[in-house]
Amino acid sequence: MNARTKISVVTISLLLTFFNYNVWAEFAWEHYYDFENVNTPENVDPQFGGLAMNAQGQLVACFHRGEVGIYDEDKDTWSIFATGLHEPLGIYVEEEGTILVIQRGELTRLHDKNNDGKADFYEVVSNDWGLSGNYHEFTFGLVKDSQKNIYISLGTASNGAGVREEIRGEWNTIGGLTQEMFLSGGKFGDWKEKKKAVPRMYARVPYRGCVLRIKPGSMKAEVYATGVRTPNGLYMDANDQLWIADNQGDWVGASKIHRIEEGGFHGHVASLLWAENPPNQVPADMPVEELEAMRIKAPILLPQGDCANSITQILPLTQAFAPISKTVTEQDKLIVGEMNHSRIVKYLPDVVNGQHQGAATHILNTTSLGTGNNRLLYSLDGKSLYLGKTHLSWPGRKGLKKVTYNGKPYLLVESVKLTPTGFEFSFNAPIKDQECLQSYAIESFEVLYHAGYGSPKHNRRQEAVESIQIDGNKLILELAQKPQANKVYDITLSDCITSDLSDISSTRYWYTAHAVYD
Amino acid sequence: MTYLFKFYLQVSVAIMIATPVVIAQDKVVAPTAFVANCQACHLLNQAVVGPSLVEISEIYPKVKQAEFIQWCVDPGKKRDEMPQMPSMAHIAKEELAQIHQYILDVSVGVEKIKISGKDIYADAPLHTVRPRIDRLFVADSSPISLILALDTEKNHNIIWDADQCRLRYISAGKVSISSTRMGLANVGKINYLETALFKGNHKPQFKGYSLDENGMATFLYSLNSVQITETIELKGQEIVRTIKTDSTLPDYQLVSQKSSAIKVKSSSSQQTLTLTYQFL
Repeated sequence: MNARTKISVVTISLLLTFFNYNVWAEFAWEHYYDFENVNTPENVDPQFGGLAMNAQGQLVACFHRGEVGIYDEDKDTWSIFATGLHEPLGIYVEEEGTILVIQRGELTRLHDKNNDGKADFYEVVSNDWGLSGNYHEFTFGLVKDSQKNIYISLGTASNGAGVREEIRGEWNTIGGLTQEMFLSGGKFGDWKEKKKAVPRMYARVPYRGCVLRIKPGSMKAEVYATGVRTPNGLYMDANDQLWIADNQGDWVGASKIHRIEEGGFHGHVASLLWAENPPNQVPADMPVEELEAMRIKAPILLPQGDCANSITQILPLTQAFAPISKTVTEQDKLIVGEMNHSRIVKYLPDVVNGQHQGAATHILNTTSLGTGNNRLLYSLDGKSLYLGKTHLSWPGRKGLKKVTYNGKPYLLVESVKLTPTGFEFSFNAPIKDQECLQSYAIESFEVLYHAGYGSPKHNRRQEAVESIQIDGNKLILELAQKPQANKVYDITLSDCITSDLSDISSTRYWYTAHAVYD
Repeated sequence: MTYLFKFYLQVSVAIMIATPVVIAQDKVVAPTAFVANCQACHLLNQAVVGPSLVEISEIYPKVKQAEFIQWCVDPGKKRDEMPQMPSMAHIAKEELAQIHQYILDVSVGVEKIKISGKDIYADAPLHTVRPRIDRLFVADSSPISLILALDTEKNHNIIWDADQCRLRYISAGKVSISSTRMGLANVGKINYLETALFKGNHKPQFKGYSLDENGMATFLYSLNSVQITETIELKGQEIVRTIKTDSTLPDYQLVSQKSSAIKVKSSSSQQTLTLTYQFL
């Protein structure tokens, strides 16, 4: 090789090294978390509807085809505890050792009276809600508050299909919509034509689209709140605040996390039929302005596709699972699973003029996680997160994944606060921005509240950045135009932000600004 | 100097080999909006939740881009075996056009893969063992029905309505349902139909069921204030249904459709009603 060639090789390699500096310097979740597949029971369709842990530290899971299994991780063995349940989508181990499961039509307590490892008594705790036979009427759960009240949530029916002639619960005819209008086949006519006359999602039997509370010792289900659509994730925090994950669709422009208020209407109109003062017309025909004034806005919107698609269970983000500063309380951030993408959504709450809002971002955004993450559960020591997967008829996967934090600290954003002129990001360590080719980008848009399915990004606008300041562990973004109310700000931070801990772990944040500072 | 230069050259070549290189290729790159919204349901050349990209490119060639965009914004429902596609109205039409172009480009020269639709869990032991209880949507009963699949030669199934708290019918045949379990289960041919036993205006409340070591059930329910246990047993060629109350048995009337497959007789005392269903 002559000298010229040698110099060329050296030059090329240096150039490649420089241009690919980002690849070497890029944050990788695999450096901080181990991802492993956990065995599932033999001959059981491993689509998880619920995950819990018993006092012995064993996983207790319910599956799509009605089984309840118990997993001894030390022995890597599963045993089947119960079978024959109807699409169970939540499980809870009680202090007494009994197991609560929520099925489509029943909240069931499983007893093992002879202690042989198999349920021998399937007790009805409550079945006090309607079921029309529509395929989309899932029943989700379940959590308890400090008074041991149980909370479940009922999904609405979809006009993808009608209902059955025999139903449970009385049909609600408000607005003149009779049950016959929702029957199809044979003498009842073709559904493709009949569906044109009914709303996209509907709640014509009690209490679809509502959050229900069942008190200890009572079989009665009380309507705790209205206005959810497909509420596939419930979480009760340490302050007895109920959070619910709801999914994009009609009246739900983007998937969202609700901060449920007792007696409140949370936006999806179908369930207004079951409110204390129901309307005297089809709820979907009510003026949007009237509905807008009634509804409690979800603190956080998760723009479809970019941020989330089909969200699931909510948990807090704990200090055992992520390098959160000790001064930050665990109530300050939530995580929520997602079906469509290999990632977990993290919610960073903010309160502006009394309005709950805040920012969403991603963690564990890696193909190692896999999709279909329906039910989440921490290990006893909190260092591991189990993710039970499902797909049913939607995008997703099967199986059980375990993700364990190795304890090595990395750089993450602990809070995003709105300011009068922009946003303040607080990191868990002092940061610096090694300026590189990537820069900051901010786009604002509106998510519409309307009967339409989902929402386009309305009034999209690129926001000019006036200034960026770094002060210790804070990054302060000032916009050329001060933040406006009722917008989502899609913020991409520079991926050259770094620290002694690591490079930045997540660069994209969606801030829901219901309210702003004057 | 030569030694140093050689050493540096070796290190440089090692770096070059180890460093992943992103250079322009003729590989088709998926638009961001496709990755965020479409990829989960639409694989390149096999149908999963939705049709494959290859199939979509056949349905919507270049000249049909407007129809493709319209479908994305307002999807219809053409395939019973696939779920309803949600609207992609949140994606700008320019981006939908880019997605369409991507689908056309990436599908060039790619053949479709047909995968077997067989449900590998349909015949799993837990779903074929008899006796067992399944809870599925079934025809001619309420949406809250239990199927007690009995261990008989003809695979008899008792369809027990947990909303009305009574036996609705007895069928014979394998219990089967699609893998999504959202439609009606097939429970075989109805052999015997029964109307409500107890006269009067009773408000039934299902309380649950216990299972014995053989998997046979005892149902617990109440009719107004009367507490009832109903045990189902299989004795040879007969199903014996014993309905016991904690007080006085309510007035009853056995009304059933005449059946050439099953003959039923009853006997009662003050607190107990026994119904025997004999296979003919």
